[in-house]
Amino acid sequence: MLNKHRIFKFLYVIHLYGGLFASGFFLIMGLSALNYQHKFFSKEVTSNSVSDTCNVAITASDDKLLVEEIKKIKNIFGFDPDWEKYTDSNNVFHCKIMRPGRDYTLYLNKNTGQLITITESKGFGSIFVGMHEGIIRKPESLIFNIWGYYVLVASITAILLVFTGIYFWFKKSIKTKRDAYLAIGFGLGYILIFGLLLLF
Amino acid sequence: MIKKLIRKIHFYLSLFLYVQVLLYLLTGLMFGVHSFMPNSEKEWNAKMEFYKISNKIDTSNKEKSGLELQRKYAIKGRMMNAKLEKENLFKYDFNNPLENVEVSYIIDKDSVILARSTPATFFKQTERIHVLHNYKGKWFHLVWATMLDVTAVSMILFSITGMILWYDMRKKFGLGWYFLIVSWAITIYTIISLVI
Repeated sequence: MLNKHRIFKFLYVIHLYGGLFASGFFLIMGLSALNYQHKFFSKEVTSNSVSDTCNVAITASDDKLLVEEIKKIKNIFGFDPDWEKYTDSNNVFHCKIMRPGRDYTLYLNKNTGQLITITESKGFGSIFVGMHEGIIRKPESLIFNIWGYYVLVASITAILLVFTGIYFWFKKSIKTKRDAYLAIGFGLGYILIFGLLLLF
Repeated sequence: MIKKLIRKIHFYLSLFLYVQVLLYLLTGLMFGVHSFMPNSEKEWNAKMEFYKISNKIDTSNKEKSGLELQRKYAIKGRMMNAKLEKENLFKYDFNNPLENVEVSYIIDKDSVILARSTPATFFKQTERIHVLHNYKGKWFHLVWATMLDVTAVSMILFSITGMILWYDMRKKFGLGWYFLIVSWAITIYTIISLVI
């Protein structure tokens, strides 16, 4: 049978290692949450666009496959919204690829194979937004997928940290009635404000 | 002395923030993974209401006229936007996590159209709660925004004070280096690859 001391030690180790594992997540989520409210860093295009021209041999006929092929050739990743894809009367295919920190506008001449890529860098705020939402959006990039799964695991770990933290309050940290009242008072205060937000 | 202070900061921050942090973690997690949940594709339920009004609305004072509309038509939330959309059309947007209301005041026809949309699923509601921010609206909205700021700063402080507290015990808990390196390698590499 597990004794109380062992349970305490086990949860302490989880709290400690879990906290270290989630430390990067906490820092990025904290900074990006502040940026959502105060906009310290812009998420708009901040620098002049850079244009690059090259010739490519494209085999795909479908717009979606065409973009996938361009992405592979140019080694870029991001979202390619359907409403930005079309072929004009000169047989030039237009598309846009967006990712945190950067926007790409591409023009592919289907007759000659000439591909023009216009790259625009966005402010650091855009990177924060991308990382904050990393769990939701997983563009086909290895690093962004790793970040997405890290955020998922770190979020679950952080929930565990809260519960193990509450366990430590009761077992060790809360020594006075004042601390206990503070914890209950602030908890109820949050719930009250939250209720007001939903009701009015 | 410093170690004791850091431990106190870590402890007292947690006393203040456990509910808020938990709420954001849970809603954030649902926000992120709700595509796996049933009915997640269903987003909004919409309803239209039409009213004829006897007195003209004074749109020159946006705040006052917005509050009057809220009282008259039992609209929840805070006014996010109020502007003359076209020559004869003035629009107000009201926002509450459980309801969005767009009010169109058609000036020359003395009529008001309300488009009420409510999140269709529990997961959509949690998403709306998660994204609620900004110093705008009634007093409790301002309190909420302040709490959000405090939570954000605390997350940063939790991270820093936690690392300092572990560093002091690193000989006993040496495995911590691996967790710390994994966390920061992923974080820093992601930032660098997005910047370059």
